[in-house]
Amino acid sequence: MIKLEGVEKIYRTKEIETLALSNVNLHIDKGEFVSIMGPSGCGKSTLLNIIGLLDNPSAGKIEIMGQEVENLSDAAQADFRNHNISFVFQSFHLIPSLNVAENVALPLIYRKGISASDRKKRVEEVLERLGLSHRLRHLPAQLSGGQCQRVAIARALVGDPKIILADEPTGNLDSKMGTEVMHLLHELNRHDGRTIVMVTHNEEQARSTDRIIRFFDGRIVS
Amino acid sequence: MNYFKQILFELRERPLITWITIAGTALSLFLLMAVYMNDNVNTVSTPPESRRADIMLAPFVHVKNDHGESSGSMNRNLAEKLYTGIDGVSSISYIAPWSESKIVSLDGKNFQTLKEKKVDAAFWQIYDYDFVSGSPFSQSEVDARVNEVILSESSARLLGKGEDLTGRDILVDNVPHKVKGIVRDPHPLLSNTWSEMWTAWTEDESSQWSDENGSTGVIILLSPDADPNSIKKEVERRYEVFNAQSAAENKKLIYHGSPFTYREQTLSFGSNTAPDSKSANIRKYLFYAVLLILPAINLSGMTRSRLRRRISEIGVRRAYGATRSRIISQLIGENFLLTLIGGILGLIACVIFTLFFSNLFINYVDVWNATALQAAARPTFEMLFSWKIFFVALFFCFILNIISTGIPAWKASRVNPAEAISGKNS
Ligand SMILES: Nc1ncnc2c1ncn2[C@@H]1O[C@H](COP(=O)(O)OP(=O)(O)OP(=O)(O)O)[C@@H](O)[C@H]1O
Ligand SMILES: [Mg+2]
Repeated sequence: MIKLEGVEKIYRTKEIETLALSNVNLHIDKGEFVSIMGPSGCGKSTLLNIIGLLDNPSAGKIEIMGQEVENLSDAAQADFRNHNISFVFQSFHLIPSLNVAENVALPLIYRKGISASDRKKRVEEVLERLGLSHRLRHLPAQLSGGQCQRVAIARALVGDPKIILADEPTGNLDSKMGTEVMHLLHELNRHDGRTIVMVTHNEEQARSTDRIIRFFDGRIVS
Repeated sequence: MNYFKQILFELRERPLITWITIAGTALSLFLLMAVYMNDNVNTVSTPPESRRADIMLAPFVHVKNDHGESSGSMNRNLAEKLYTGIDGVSSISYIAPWSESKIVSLDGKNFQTLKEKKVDAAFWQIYDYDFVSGSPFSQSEVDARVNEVILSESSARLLGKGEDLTGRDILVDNVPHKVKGIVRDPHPLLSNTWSEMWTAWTEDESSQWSDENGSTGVIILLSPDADPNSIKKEVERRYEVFNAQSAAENKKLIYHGSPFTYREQTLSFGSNTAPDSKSANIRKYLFYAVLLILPAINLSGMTRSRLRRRISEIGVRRAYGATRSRIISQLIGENFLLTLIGGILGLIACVIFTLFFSNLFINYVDVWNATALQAAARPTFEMLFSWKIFFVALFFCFILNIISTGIPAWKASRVNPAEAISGKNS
């Protein structure tokens, strides 16, 4: 499903070069729930960004769902993301000027060939599934952190992607909300068969997933 | 719809910078439209000058001979030689291009000083005066030099004190003239048609002071599809014919581009120079460019700072599949709405200002030759505002928006989504 070969990422600023990823080789199978752990600054987010086509590697090959993606044009990458990959962030990143329904609809807005009524139906279905039907018209500022993350998960779900990338999805939540979000992710993995890659600092959460990849200084150590 | 929501959101969340952006746009539209509207007042079509776009004016001739040079109004014979029977001219009027003051009374007791224009019959066809009573004089009356006069409504009221003067005789400089008709007062800013009375007139020998100079000016009404430039070409050709014939006498007419359109006429010039509409246009466009670019630079700074706060939003949109061009068009669309709000406020302010206060700052007429009434006159709403003005304002808004938003939006669309989301770029 996800295949990285010899991936390297160097950040160049005026003064310094940072080797954020060095020779990363990684296979993740379809339907796997993988967690990535490691100390701060070791390159976890960088890896997730590269898998999610949000950033390009400095070297190496990336194959996602059998397609080589690192050399696609910007528009083709955007389209690929739109159909196949979605994201859950630590700080939710809902758009503050849009209400819950509009935030959730975002991936469908950027997808060609979906009618407004279709869009509305799918948004309502997803929000129903996540128990947010009564919050349709609320703005993000009017929701709790846990609700925000559920809205973000609804947004990650609405386009029916095969891959979900979650960067410390429970990092900003209390443990009760965190558990709830983990439950949700597990359900999306087991019930829907979606492939999930999650960065976490929580040992217990990591152990509940299929596999733990440990990172240190831009390398996989186990 | 979503553009509108975004703007409401910003007004709520970041009121200061959003209102400053709107106010800045309003101010620049105000300045732009003040210049444009005041320029437009001189060429806008409004009764009795409804056909301004089709009217051309030839008030002067410039002659050079052994004795020197002279320029000014034309001898009637020369005027006919140069302007009669041109293709594409539907009507031609020979008038005296200067106004005079006359002492007028109904009964020889109540004397009034009135501005007089000397005109012929065609004058009343070219300009669409609104006759309250009576009718224009006919060409046969003009040719027979019948003493006839048409009064403005307010002159008639002044002289008649409530009596209907149509058909009555009044004294103009002690000579009896019959009142042929009464017209509604033209607006004082319409200097080609405004007067207090109009007398039937055709040039006689007493006012011809050379074979070329006299007291006649020409007004031409073009046929609907005629081209002003081809009229000019024909007149210039006639100048050349005249000069070829007069070469033996060492006499020469100097061509300055007549007849002139209204636009050309507004560029102040004397009887012996050509209106330089080319450099006037360049100056005008430069002026507009400065008025557009300076505020646009300011606005683009504000757009940039508003967009900085939305970098992570842009990153998220990119993550979920928005292409760069989609981001650009969204940002430009949102900002166009903002520009439009400011622009409409600025336009409204400009119309109100020009309607009520412009005469404190702007002289629409040549103050040296104008009456107090003309000098104090302000344009009417109809002269200032039209759909054309609205679309010009819309166009200015559009350009302003492209200049002020284009580059910030383009830059915002280029940020790396990963960095935008993590906030490393802000
Ligand atoms: N845009 C960037 N420009 C320069 N250096 C960067 C950039 N992004 C990340 N880095 C550097 O790359 C390295 C890896 O960063 P990354 O964000 O992937 O770490 P992380 O493992 O996600 O850390 P954390 O657990 O704190 O989120 C760090 O040294 C970081 O400083
Ligand atoms: Mg990280």
